[in-house]
Amino acid sequence: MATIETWATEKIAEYGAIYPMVGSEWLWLTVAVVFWLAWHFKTSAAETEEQAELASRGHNRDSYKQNVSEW
Amino acid sequence: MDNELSALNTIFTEFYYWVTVVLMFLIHVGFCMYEVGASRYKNHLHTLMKNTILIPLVTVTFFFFGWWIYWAFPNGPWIFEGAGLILDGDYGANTLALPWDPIMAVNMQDHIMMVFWAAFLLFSWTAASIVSGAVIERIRTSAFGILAIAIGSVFWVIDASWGWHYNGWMVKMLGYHDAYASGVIHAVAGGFALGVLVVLGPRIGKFASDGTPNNIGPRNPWLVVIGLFLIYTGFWGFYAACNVPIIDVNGAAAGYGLKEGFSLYTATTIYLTPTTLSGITANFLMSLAGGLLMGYWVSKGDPFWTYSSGLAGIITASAGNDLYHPLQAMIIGAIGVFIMYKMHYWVERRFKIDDAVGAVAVHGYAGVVGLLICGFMLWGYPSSAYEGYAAINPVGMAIGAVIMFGLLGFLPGWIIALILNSVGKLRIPREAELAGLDYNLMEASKRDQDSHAAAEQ
Repeated sequence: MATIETWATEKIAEYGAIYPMVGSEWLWLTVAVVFWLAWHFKTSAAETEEQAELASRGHNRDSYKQNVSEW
Repeated sequence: MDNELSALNTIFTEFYYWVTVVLMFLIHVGFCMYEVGASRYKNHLHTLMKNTILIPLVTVTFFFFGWWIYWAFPNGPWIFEGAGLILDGDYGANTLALPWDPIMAVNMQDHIMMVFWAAFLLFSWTAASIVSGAVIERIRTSAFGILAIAIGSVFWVIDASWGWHYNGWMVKMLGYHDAYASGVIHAVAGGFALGVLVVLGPRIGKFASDGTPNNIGPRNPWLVVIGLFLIYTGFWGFYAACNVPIIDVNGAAAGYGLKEGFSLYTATTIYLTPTTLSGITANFLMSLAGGLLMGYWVSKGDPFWTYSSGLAGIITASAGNDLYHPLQAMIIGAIGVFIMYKMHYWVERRFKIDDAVGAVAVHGYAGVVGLLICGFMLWGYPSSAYEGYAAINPVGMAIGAVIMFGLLGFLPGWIIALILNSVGKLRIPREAELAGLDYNLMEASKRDQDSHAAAEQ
């Protein structure tokens, strides 16, 4: 797992990438891209649902005033 | 870094860009406060979240592909050297600027790549945030997320690759010069915002039935004021980030025709043309002053426009603030503010455009004016430290302004907004806009309060 096993070596000047699992970047990138795209689809669907529900309730421009809380 | 001097130089540069990133973070804090202050009570939280969510969206996409775009397209599409896509070579060129490359991480062989990436990323946030303010209170957050990625991780990056890169084709062929991003950030983002606004339409009630515009807000002038002061503060970091802090101009240009046998260690612009942090500090302040004075004058002391005009003054002078005299910066800032203020209200009345925070004017029109003025003021100056590049000239700068505001700004914004609108994903329903985007959150909060009060009895 560890890319670096000692700092106490003259070879430290030759070290390059020091993060764990060097060589697995494609795997992490794939997971990150899937997460990013899924975020768009899921949040967009949730937003559509929420606003459709809100629109169906027939509020007027001042309805929000009954929901102004004191805290 | 096997000796103290080279280590000092490298780590100074690394730390320099790191500080600019921290300062530029304040721009975003300012934009959030500003937008919330400009929105109405029933839309505050939605407005805040819309601007906040662009941070992660632009960040991850700038890591995925934005940084690669910057290094890939300096030659433009079939404009300079064939197809123009650069696939290797040079520091940071796009064999390295890939999200799977080991240099895009903690790497003991490189101290600059990721902090330079971060400085560019903060510019990306700014570009997206400029658009965010213009469209408040009626755009879907999900639609804005797509638009933010488009301007923040694609279109401004293309324009930077073309005109804000030491090797960009606009610099080489047009003599384009834009030291502190009048065009490459502000004009492009302003143009993009205008393209979106044309499709999005005004907020309900913005225009009376006879077409007369109504002023809406700002709801909280104090948030607006503090927000704009924070944007000013972050702008210092923006200016510093546009410089290379210390470099041997001759060494950097070796092989590009500069005379050999001398060295000049100095700060430079992104084009590697010399300037001084000292001089640009004065120009920043004087252009801010010119903008504030003209803004107060032309708006008859309106606080919202006076503060925005300070920003517009800096933006107008930014293209040439690496070389202007401070008094020139001041006058140029004032001219830009006068024009952008008049343009804002003319466009609002003539085309019924509801730009809620004046973003198109402050960033777009002021940025374009700044490019046009720069073309005349710096006419004949070399656009680059390298030999063989076109000199700065009015025609090249005017073409540059059209590319920034129109081709890479307005056009993509308009097209993407049209596509989103055609599938019903751009604007919230009319009834939801009337109720207020925070209605459900406010209702839940009120319910919590009532339950809490009942429990206390």
